[in-house]
Amino acid sequence: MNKTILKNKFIIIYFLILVLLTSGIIWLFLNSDATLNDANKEITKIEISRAKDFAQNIQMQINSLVSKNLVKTVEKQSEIQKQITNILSLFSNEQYRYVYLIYIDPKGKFRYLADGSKDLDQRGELNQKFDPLSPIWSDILTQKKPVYDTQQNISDLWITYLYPIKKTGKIEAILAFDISAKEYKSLISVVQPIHNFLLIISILLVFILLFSLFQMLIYFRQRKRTNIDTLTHLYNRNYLEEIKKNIDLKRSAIAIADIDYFKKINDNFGHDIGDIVLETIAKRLLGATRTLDIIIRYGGEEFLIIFNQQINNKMLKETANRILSFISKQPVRIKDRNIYVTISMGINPASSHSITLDEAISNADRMLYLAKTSGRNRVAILNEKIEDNHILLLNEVSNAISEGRLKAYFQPILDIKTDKIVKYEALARIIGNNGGIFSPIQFLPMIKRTNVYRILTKNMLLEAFKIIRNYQISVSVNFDIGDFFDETLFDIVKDLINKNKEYANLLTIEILEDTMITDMENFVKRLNILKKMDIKIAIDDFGAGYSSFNYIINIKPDILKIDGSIISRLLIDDNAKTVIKGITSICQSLDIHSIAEFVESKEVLNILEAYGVDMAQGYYVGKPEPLAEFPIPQQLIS
Amino acid sequence: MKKTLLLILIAIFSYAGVATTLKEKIIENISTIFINKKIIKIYIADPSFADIFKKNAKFKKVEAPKNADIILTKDSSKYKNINLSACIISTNYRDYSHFTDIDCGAFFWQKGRPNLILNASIIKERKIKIPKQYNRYTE
Repeated sequence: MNKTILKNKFIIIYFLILVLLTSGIIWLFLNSDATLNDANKEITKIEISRAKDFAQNIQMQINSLVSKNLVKTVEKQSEIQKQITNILSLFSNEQYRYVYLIYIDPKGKFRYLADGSKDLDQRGELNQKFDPLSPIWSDILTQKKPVYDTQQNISDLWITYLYPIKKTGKIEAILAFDISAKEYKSLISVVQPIHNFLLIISILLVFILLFSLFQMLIYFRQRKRTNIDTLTHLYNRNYLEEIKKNIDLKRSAIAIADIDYFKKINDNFGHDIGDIVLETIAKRLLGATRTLDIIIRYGGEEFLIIFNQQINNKMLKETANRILSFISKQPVRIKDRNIYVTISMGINPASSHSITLDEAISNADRMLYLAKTSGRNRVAILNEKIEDNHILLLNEVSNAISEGRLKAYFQPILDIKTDKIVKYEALARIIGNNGGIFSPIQFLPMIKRTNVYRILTKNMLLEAFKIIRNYQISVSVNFDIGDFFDETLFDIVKDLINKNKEYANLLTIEILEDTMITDMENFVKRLNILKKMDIKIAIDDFGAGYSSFNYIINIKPDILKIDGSIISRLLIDDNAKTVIKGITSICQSLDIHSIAEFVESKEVLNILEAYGVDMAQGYYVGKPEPLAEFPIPQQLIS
Repeated sequence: MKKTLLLILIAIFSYAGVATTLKEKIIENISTIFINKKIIKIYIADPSFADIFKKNAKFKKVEAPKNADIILTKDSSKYKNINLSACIISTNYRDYSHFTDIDCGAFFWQKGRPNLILNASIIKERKIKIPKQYNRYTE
């Protein structure tokens, strides 16, 4: 299990144990409090019962001394007062601290009639005013039955018990017992230490609990900070590391989304605007996904999405396309400027047999490549049953070359005026182990700038010269901008051209504009070296990608290939017609041959002829075919 | 945390000072009935009352009874034959009961309860008007 998750679980378990322990101790404390109260009630009851017995006994003795008018008799006969005092004194002891008789004078004041208290300083004198503190002294007058009160305000006293001395239903005097708190204190002294101990432990535990809670909150807040990307507020890769062991790849699809042309946004508008775009896209991604899906900022402009629900590839693609549409439907508006942003997405579906997350991410990354190379703003889902979207890895390409499974396919190019095939474009294909055919976008991105790529290029050039030599016909081979800056590859190309210099004028190098030329001066310098070797130069896919009229001026090509995306709109878009007319006109003025790509019908061919386009290439003219099915032009046979 | 500790300490000291505060308050109330002065000079002869009025701006303890406005004593006999304008408050009932002719009143602790008696004849003699709530203590 992941260490952080283990730590989190440990913290939560520790906290729960602490909560349980604290609750238990508090429960014990409250229970001990209740037990103490119960015990207190019980001994109070016993003490009251005893006091009542004493009171009844005293009443009997007073009755035997005075039959009527108790107060007057006592006031007049000091001997009686003395005898009553003695009776009271007999019941006064350490427990029954003060035993005294009180009467109410005509003004309603309480006064001593007799007092049996042993301590003479505490003994009240006959007729001395008595100031009661407790309301029970008025209660007994109304209730006319014994009452008691537990003392709160008088130290060393616990209970004051009052007993009415009645004659013919009228209270003549009140017999009072002040019971010492000594017995109560001895009871408390047994229970109180346990009670106090539990109280202290409860307070300590509550403090520890609060402190732990505080620490736990700080820890989780800190952890959240570690796991959250500060710019986009999405999860970052730390979080992915934490959860990777818990991702069920049988239920979760892994997608990698990448903002298209993000480098251009940064280059053109600056990094601050780039950051705003990232923030906006992150928000849109959150808005377009469900709460149970997890979005992680995986790299600079790359986002990893974990779709936490097992759905089929069709639904997954619909979901992904909905996300793409949600992101691209509105521009990112920054300071009165609209920036149109699209994303590409590669997905490893839950149905794939990926064993590890890294494998699933690698698959999604390969699919992202496919989506990017297929024109961007699109989704590519890994489907292991269909090889079309399978990307070949470096070693697979290397094996294919060494096993002779790299094949050159040739697509014919028609001279529209003469209606004859005048050129072929050499296209690389790899035959899979099970006979499937892989096109360049499925393996070139994985081998670019490697030695395998150089070997592949060399093989393609050798195949091209073989055709040129055998059939004396022009063949073009694709190069990308980066190839011109690869010293080793450039030397290989020069060497091959030198070895076939009598056929060099039939070789055309088509420059693919999939990357921007950053060092035009050096590029043109190298291009001129090849031009001097008598080869022809063509600009491929003109009108798309990074191509511009500036390229025509600098490169000075022999051929311009009008991009297929423009030709395919010829029948439906008047603007496309105007653009084709314009490009053709420029080509004619500059003595450049024009080739229209993606020609798929006679109708299109006729329009192109009318516009003055020189050559046509596309499925209408002929599909790319291997050497065995090579359609040798009639004029070459004769 | 500091505030909590401070509150606990205040509570402890407040509890410890309850008895003294009560004694002081009652004596202050009795004194203000009999003496109408901004600062009352008090002579405390009963040592059990020595701890009161340590920090009370209204009361000033004096060393001699002749300088006092109020005298607190449990032995009123000492002041029987001295011509004093001071008001004597006895702190013992038996003492008070013997000297009702000179004592303004009594304040003492018996059976753990405070007891207060205001001497009606002295109040009348000195033409003192006492607040209503003290009527029940007057006799």
